[in-house]
Amino acid sequence: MMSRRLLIAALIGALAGLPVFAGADGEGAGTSTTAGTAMMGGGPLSAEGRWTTLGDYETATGNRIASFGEAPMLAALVSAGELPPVEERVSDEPLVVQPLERAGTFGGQLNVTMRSDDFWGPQSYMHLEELMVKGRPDLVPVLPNAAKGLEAAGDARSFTLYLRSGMKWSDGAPFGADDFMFWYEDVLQNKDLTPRVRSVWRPGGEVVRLRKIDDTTVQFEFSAPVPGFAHLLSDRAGTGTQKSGPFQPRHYLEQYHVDYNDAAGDLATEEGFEEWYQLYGAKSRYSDDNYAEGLPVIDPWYAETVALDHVVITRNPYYWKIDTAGNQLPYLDHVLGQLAGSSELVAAKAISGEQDVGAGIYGGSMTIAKFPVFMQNAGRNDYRVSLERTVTDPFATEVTILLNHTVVDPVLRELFNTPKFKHALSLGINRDEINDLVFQGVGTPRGAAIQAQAAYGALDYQENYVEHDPERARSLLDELGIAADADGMRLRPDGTPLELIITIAGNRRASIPPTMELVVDHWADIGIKASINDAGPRSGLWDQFRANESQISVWGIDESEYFLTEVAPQWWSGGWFWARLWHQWYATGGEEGEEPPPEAKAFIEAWRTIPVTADDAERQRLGHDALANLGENLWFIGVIAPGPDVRFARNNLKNIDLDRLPHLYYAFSGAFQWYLE
Amino acid sequence: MLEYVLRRLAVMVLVLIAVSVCGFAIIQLPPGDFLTDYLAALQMRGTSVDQAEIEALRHQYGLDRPLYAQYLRWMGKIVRGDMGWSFSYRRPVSDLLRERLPMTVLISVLSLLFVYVVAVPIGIYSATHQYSAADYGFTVFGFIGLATPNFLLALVLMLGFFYLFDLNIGGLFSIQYVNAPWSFAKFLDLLAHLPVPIIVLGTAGTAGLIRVLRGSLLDELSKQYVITARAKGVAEPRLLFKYPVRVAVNPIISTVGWLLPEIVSGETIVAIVLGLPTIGPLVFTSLLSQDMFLAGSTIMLLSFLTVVGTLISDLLLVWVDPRIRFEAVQG
Repeated sequence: MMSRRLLIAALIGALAGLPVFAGADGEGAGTSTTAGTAMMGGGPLSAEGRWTTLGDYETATGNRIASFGEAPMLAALVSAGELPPVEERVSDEPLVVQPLERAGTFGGQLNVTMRSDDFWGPQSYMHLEELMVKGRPDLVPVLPNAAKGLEAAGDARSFTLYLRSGMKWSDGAPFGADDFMFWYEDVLQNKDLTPRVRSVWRPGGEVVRLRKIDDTTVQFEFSAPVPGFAHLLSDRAGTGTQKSGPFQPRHYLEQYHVDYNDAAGDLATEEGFEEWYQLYGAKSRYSDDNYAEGLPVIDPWYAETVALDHVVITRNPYYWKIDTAGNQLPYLDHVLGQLAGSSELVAAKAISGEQDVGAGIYGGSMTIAKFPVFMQNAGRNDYRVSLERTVTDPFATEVTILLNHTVVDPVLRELFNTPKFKHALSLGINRDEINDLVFQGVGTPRGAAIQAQAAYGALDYQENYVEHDPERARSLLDELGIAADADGMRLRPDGTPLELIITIAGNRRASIPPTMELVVDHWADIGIKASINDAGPRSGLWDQFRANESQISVWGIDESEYFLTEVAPQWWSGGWFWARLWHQWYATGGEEGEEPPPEAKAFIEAWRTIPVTADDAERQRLGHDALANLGENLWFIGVIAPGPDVRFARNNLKNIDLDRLPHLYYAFSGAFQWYLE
Repeated sequence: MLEYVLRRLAVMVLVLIAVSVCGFAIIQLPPGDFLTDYLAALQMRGTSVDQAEIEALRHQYGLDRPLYAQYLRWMGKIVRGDMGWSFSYRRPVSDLLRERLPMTVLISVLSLLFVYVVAVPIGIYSATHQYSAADYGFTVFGFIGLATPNFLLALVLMLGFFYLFDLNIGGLFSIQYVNAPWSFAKFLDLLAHLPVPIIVLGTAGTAGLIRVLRGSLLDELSKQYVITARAKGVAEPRLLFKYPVRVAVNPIISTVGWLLPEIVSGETIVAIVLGLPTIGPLVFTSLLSQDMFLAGSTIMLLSFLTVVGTLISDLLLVWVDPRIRFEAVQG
């Protein structure tokens, strides 16, 4: 096959000094429809209101930006001689953003509240981390962001990332290829910092190779095709951010790295740690969500104060985005994140007007159930509320029932591996009643689903066995020889009463306990006795899973994006909660656990193959077959997808389209252009 | 006497060692460790966690060592006065406690003062005016105060203050002062926010103390020496405060020592409901997440304060009660 070039970014060759790849060989430009491959073009970019570089903007619109504007707080520092002028700070090739409403006014502080016990640092929560390339919330096209271009070659095995020239870290140090090489050589290959390389960095088994081409160009080389690499670099879990690669601020972190500083160990001891890599972790926030105070970033704001009860992030004077009037973004000087111990307190702070904006499913503070309370207080505190959900959210299903296909009890295992039994369980659930009673009627009853379904041309399988048909469920059970006793309760093939135990982690997702109580009633109606065991603290469920002790667990499917990117998404290829021993078999390379039966193997391995398959048609076929396989075998039984959650914003917060605010992970991704009137 | 104190100190050390073993065991008791909990949290919010990442973190946190080694590693630190560092915050435990301690002590001490200032006069009044209308009123208040769950009162008061005085909900500062340096205005703002937590934290204690004081004072008032003194014409206030009240407040004094750990840890549930920046919630979440050093070291600190507090109240008793003193010296 001819070498294909996948390309994102509108690279205007002459200005950028780079060749233009756009569809020269009839492939690439806008022809790719499959999620997972990348796209390009000036068209979609300007439609988004973004231009990759100032040069692109001026060429595309004919407008000229003669001078840059900056925040008064920075102008004061410039005139005091403490900061270079704005022209030198925005990089040579700033990204241009068309504001949603108008160019904003500088200054002010945005107030938000989040739960302190969520392991969510405010930075992560608000999705303020700048990604190398930006995935759109609908997951399909990928836009340039911190990097101005990404070029794929060699059957998606090699990727060249083009950085902005003159771009700087928030402390003014140059940002470039060296920061990538530092991550590659001194973090990824350091045995203390990375005992084992994450699977995303070793698709096909071999660890990625990274090469510096020049100060603003790096090249990734994989041993297997990685068609979803652009998505990886736009991954909210941090693959495309400095949180866990592929770049870290070399100039700042060198002092904590033992290879660069012999005294790094002593430094760690002084700060109360035992080993140098612990301090390094604390300073770099390596695979953790808490921002380290003073860590240089390329985000709109850097962490100025990190306290137990609040976090203050302050504008990055070297931010590389400008608006169409030439003003350096962001408009807001600070963001204050308060941490509250309970979701009730978060909601209370919202309705009392102490939060300027909020959207969220996690932490359960802004659920649909609180909608009336939010509306009641909207006038008093001058905010607006929206229930719109025009953009996909991460929850393909909020409640999913996971039968452990490798459960210890041999009789149950036989039943759980019988598709008809699972069909009966699914048909026995009255999803409409659950929707009315638990989800205020705004949920979407459906089977297990993923967001990327359309990409695989399989939209209907999630409707399999979702209707409420207790008659059919009963006759299916009768067919299987699971007879009812005098009380109408069914007996297992070995003659003992059939009793299922459902394990939930009730204190985390509020909708699960009431939903499952209804499911227990529904199942009783078809003669199946089930009881709920609340594993309590969140690790309880996980521990049961690891010990292969669970019969049935309950979760939501919320990793949909990974279908496009991850080498092995836990849910599907990992047997996560639904087949512990198969999971183990794959995790240990066949040394422990049990080999799955053929139909399960086909399902699991499809998801392991898709991410390393370069051919679009082949990927689609694999995905379609796997989804059809799921629709028939019901490896997990989806119950319902959530309805909209409450999102709100103060009326004086501008350049924010509340109705189109994406789901939580991306909700704050446009915050760099918000301003307070 | 000196021998008694030395003996008590020796016992203290043994108790603390026992506490450290029990504490460590209890923290390790739930299956899994900090990491399994952390990973569960990651999974829950939809992050795919790689086995490799798990190993990296386990190595970083030193959780790949055997249990006894982890205990010795912790004790080695404690003996040197190092409380270790928190896994979830990636900061030294002593830093975290230092950040929370001032507000915790402030709130605890103020609510204690509130209890004494309100309860002692009311208790005395109730005893001296037994079965009066006011006594009945205070009795009713006392039982309501004892019976109302604190967190419920907290929610009601919090909303009440919000609607009546437009005071912001939760926390100790208005939003503009959260990150501001100390100033007179910030101090005033703090004062405005203190009544809710102090009333909530003080109510149950106040109600209880009123009952105790009233009861013990009533016992004293009917004793012979009071009647004799009154017969001899001693003025009523002097009669009351010279002897019976002093005897009646003895139970308070003998429990002073126990207050030490309470002052440092503060109340947990109320603090979570009200969003108070105190040590209680910090310890609570660290126990949930099995943040070993943070939970263990704080528990050690509180146990140490309990032991010291008990010693102090015992010494106080020895000092005020000749019988115990005699026993201590003899024994």
